Amino acid sequence: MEKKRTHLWIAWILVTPVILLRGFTTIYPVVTTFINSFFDIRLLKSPYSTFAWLDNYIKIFRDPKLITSLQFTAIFTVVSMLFHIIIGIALALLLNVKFKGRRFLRSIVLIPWAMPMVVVGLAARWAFNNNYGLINDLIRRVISSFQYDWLVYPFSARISVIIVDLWKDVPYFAILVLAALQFISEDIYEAARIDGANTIQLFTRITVPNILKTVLTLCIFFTIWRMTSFDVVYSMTSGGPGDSTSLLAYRIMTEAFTNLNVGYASSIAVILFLMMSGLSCINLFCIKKIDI
Amino acid sequence: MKRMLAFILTAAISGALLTGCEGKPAPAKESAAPETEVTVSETAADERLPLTLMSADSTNSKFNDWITRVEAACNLDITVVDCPTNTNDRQAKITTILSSGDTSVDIITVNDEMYTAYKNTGWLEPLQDNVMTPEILAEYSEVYMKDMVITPDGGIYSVPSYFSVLGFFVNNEILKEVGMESVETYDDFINYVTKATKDGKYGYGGAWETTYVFNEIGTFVNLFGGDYYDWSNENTQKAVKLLYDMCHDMGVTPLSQIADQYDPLRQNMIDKTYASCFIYNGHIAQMKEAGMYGDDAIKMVVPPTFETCSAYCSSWHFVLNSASKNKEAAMRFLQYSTTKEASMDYAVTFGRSPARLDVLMDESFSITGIDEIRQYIDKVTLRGRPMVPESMEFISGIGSLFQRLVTDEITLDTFYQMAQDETDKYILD
Repeated sequence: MEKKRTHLWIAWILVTPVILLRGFTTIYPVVTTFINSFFDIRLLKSPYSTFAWLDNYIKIFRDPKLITSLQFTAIFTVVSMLFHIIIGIALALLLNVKFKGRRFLRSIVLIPWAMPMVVVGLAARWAFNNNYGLINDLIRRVISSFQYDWLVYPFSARISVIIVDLWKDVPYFAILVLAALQFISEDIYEAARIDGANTIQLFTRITVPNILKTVLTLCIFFTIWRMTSFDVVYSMTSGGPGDSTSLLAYRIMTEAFTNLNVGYASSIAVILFLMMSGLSCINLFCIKKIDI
Repeated sequence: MKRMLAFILTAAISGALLTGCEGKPAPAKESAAPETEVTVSETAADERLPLTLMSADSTNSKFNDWITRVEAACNLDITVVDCPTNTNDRQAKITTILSSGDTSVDIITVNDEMYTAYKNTGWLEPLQDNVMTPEILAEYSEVYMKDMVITPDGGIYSVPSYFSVLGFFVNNEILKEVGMESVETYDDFINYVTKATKDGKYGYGGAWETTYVFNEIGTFVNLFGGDYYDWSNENTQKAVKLLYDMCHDMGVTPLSQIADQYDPLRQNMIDKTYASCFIYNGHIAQMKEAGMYGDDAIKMVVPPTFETCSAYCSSWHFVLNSASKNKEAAMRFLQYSTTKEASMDYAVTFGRSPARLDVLMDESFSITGIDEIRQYIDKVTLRGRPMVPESMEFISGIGSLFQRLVTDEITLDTFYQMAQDETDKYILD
């Protein structure tokens, strides 16, 4: 018993510095952000901050730029996640098939994920250019008179941002789903085929139930990453044209570090935090339901 | 043994953590008046002092040579800190340094937007008593200093490092092709841009990126005699409508330029994709290097007279961090920067127009584009750009609205209303 207490004591001593460091770098900024969200802190206006209660939060829902950011963040998250799941599972199934070169394909498919998003965003800015871009060059091999500036119009700029996000992260999603697929025994499929199951039934009755928990778990992380996406917009469109591709995280950066509206930026960050928490709770609830 | 090991490891980790912690730097002073007057004494001038400079010019190939000359002239040991080239990043970094009372950088180069944001915050050291004295001030452009630099209470917080004009550039070769000799009036301008638009080429080009387009909107507003802060002003509205019509009904300028800053604009001028534009005179050097500047090619000319003949002037500034611990060294640097020699040296080294008017108008002094600037000083009404303390927010706000207008997300009337609402946030607040 004495020995056990000693081990526990040693463990706490060793872990304490890391807990303090983590607390200082995570808990302290979160608490400070929460407190700042109730103050009017505009550094370019005055060095003093005044207590504003819920004014910053009310301003969020009256600010047209913020509403645009909220709308696009919702669209970006939902559409990107939907295609992550569809394309990710399809790619995972493809990579699970036994064929020559499968290992090589599994390696190279991860290349986009390994590239920094800032590099991808800058390259994409040129790729979607009408005169010099790769995308239009490929399209013109089929439709020679095709002319379109993808990043000039809000609708196509949004689609472009989503495409780039999918191109970069779907491979990673697929690899993780592939790992779950590897755990499904071939015997189950064999038995099902003997019982007369067709391909679709194999997919819906065996594959999906077995990977559902993994996919839902991945959805938590990937949804949070979509909601907090910043670098793709920063490097590719700078939030434009207008504010049409400005995501919430980009808006927070602009308000905090360009406009120096620290209080307002903090309130947007709190709203984003609440949105992420809400979505995570829904996801966890769904996972629990599956377990039952 | 295990206990000893645990203690050693804990102490090592805690020590490593604590060595990264520094005392909180003193907050920036709030009052404009300095606590002690800093002067460069004759005896102190013998002492080599350290100074840290954050400069946007540090990537220039001739920068190190310039620093060496400044060190010799001022008896300073200058450490250079690089500045981000992206507008937003640069503003964010410099604002963080100044607002947090960071003492690691003494002198910083800032543009008009940043200077306007910082001059009333107490983050900058006032210079009107020791550096920009009335005698020195008289050597700079009175209009520019009044519009941009001097605060309502007479404070001066910067030394302008060079003088720049947002000039009107015309391709003389294309001008001749369309059978014209000059662009002097509104009708000339419309005639030229219309005739020059053909075969995938445009009569006019712009930089309509969110943080850049305000220069152009303001230029056209001035040409029409409007007021940038009053969007119900008929002349202001004429200016915006013309820009919209040039892109849509007239088709003389492309919509794709809403992603462009000045580098693509300059390249399009060099490639003859655009026949005219408004761009800063500092780009003359690059156009010359490309072999595309001259009487038979691109030339900066006096802008056409619509209701007025006017252009924006601007500058970058040397400012002194009020939290600096090397103010004596900084004052030496700044006092030297106001001299004729320093002004000439800077202009020649970086290919920019000198900030001091006596140097600019000195016939014996010559750099690329100097004649054009002299012409502008002589014939054009030069004005500082309209700025508010929350400069970048205001600039991006109007820029975003303009982008929404030209992409037909909003109508002209909606633009005027929203632009006024946006302006009132900063003017009336």
